[in-house]
Amino acid sequence: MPRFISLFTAATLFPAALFSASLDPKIRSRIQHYADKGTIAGAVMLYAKNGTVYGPDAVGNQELAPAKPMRADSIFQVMSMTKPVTALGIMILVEEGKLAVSDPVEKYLPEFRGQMMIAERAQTTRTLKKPARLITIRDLMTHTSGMMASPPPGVPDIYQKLDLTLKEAVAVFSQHPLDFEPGSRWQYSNAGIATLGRVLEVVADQPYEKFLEERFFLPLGMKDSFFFPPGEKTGRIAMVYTLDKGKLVKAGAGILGGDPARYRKGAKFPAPEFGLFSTASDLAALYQMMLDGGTYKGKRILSKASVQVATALHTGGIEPAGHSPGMGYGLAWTVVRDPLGTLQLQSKGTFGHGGAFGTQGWIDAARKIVGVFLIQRSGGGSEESNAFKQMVAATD
Amino acid sequence: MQLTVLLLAIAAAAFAAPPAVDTNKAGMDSERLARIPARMKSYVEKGTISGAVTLVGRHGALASLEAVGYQDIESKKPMSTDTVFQIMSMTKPVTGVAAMILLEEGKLALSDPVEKYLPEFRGQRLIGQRDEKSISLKRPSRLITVRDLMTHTSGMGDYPEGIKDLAVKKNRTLAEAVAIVAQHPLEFEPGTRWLYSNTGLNTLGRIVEVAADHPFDQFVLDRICKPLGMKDTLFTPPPAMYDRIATVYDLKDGKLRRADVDHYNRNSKFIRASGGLFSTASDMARFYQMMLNGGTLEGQRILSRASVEVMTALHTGGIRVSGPGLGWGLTWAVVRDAAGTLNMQSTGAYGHGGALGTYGWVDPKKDLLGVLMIQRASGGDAGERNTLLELAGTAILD
Repeated sequence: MPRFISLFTAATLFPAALFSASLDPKIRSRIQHYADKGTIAGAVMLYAKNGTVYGPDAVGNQELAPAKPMRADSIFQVMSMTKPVTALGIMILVEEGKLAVSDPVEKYLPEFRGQMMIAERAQTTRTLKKPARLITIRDLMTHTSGMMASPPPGVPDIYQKLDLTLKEAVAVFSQHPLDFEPGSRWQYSNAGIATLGRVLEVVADQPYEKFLEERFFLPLGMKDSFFFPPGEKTGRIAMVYTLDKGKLVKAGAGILGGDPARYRKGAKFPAPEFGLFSTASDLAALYQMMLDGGTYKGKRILSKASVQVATALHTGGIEPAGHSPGMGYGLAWTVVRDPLGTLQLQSKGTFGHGGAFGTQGWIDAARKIVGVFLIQRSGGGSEESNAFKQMVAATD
Repeated sequence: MQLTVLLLAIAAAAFAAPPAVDTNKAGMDSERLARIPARMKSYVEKGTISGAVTLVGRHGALASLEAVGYQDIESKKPMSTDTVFQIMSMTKPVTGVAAMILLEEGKLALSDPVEKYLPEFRGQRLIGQRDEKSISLKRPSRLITVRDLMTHTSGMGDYPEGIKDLAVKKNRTLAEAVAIVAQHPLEFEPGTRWLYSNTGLNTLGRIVEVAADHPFDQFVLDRICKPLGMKDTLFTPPPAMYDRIATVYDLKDGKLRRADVDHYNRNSKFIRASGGLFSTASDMARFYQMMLNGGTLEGQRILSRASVEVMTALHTGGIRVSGPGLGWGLTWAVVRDAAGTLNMQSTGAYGHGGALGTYGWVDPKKDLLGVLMIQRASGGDAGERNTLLELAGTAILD
């Protein structure tokens, strides 16, 4: 009797439980074709529409030699898809009254005091001056702070070796001049998102990765999402490949995060800009929560206000503000400001993020679509994910 | 069995007993030496210092060890010869010796670029021009070296604005602090000028840590303090030592007031290779005696004679340093012209002061060493130091 009641209660409370269905066979066979052709080792795909989840479905291999088939629950380095998750962590702190998106960064990280800006750059010299205003948390989230695009020469291999703590790395980044006046331009900045992660850590008074685990991964049931792989899960982690003269070869220590076969052994740096490992189902849960205005299976993770402000267009008319035409930036989310610019059949206002190893995730609120496309290839364009995006949109 | 116990007891007693004053062996005039505590007492009475410990040694013997005034004025706790002081920059030559120990193990060379050990220095720039509104940067004509750090000629500047409060907050490790200062441009072309640089000395300490693959403070304790019997010399004093640590005062409007400083280096993450040691007059005398002996003390060799010679040689040539008649060796201030310093030191004497008024020196020509310990953060002058130098120098008989 008590058991019956609890089941009944659950069903009443969470009427929006998602139904699952299999992927459209046309989509599956198109992506299978890429695996057969050898441009990708394998892929996991998932999309959700109006509350029905299609997939996750796997094609090809998780590892090529010896062949290990891709699984629906294979784990991927989602790289820059980490960025919006870091930003959502900041939104939780905003909701707790612990920081404001308009706050100067130096309010939380005093090592930023006295930051300069590059006024002129010549071949061997550069001239520095004081920026017109201090950089803010929002500048970091929208990539308009002017913080450096790549790590400084003193720590050029931090993203391969991961051998500094977040505190140490950001202290180094903070000493470098801005590339332009804050807010005046867009420049994709990994150092800026690392700084955002450090702000989170300081304000939350908790290690960065621990905070995300407690606030997102546990309540959203993202059981295969983490920054430092636990030993028992490494067998499900997909290997990263690169295309060498048209052939897939295993990526080595030169890629971001270092040798993928070492599973970040000994790493100190959690990498708020690219450190997350995750699965299609885990990311779909996060994205569904965003689509549903901050709730997931009856649990409120974020306020509706936070979701709205995080996914609104913040870069106004700044061009470029993204890696392709028609894109702009929200708070660490890419936002489609002109579907005729992106030409991927996504609605205006669609938000999401890609990752350096070819992964893509997006939420098309107008069409109530969530999409996740996971591969592990360093470099090599985005033909496969574009095909998937377009075919998902075409199911509508 | 009983004999062994007795011998052990004698040995222990010999270690524990403070060295006896022997002015004969030292070849010094005991009446003249008595002027030192008398003069220091007059400073205490005048109220310019709370108290002082002074030590003079010569020919390997203790010539004078005196404590006057108070370790703490408020509680009237008298100064004692084993009172512990924050010796601040007198730490620097200890850091220098640590670096020389690694050199002797083949683990570093003085001419090595800093970035060989600390890659975070790669890409370092130099301030070309600076005006009110802008700073122009260029590439330095050469990389900074280990020697540049030791002679304060690297051009490394002060702590940047973002970590200006590091010395007070002590909230970053040596590794973090050095990684931060490494990102900043040099003030001048390496080797062309002298600029006293705490950031440079901390960089040297970090190099010691990396080359030795050992925490800096632990390396100093294991390789210098322990073998030299400097039992009260350390970076992080244990609470049991607190009641032996002298209170720091500011001299303001003719009055001494307790300084607003952390007297015990509590909750510190920052091991300051530039000035973090606590020590006593007797401990520092042991360190200086090792230098005076050419690298050994009581059968313990810390450095080779060659290292002592190169450390205490004049490295800055004609470059102007902090005062007339002075130059710089490797982390030691060196008297290059006794007629310039005018305080009875021989040319070739070397030593170092500390920000709280302490001072220690070695004069190889006179076979003399001396230590002054006071704790005054501001408001004084070099009066006490000059007094000790002059009274020690003029008490020599042979």
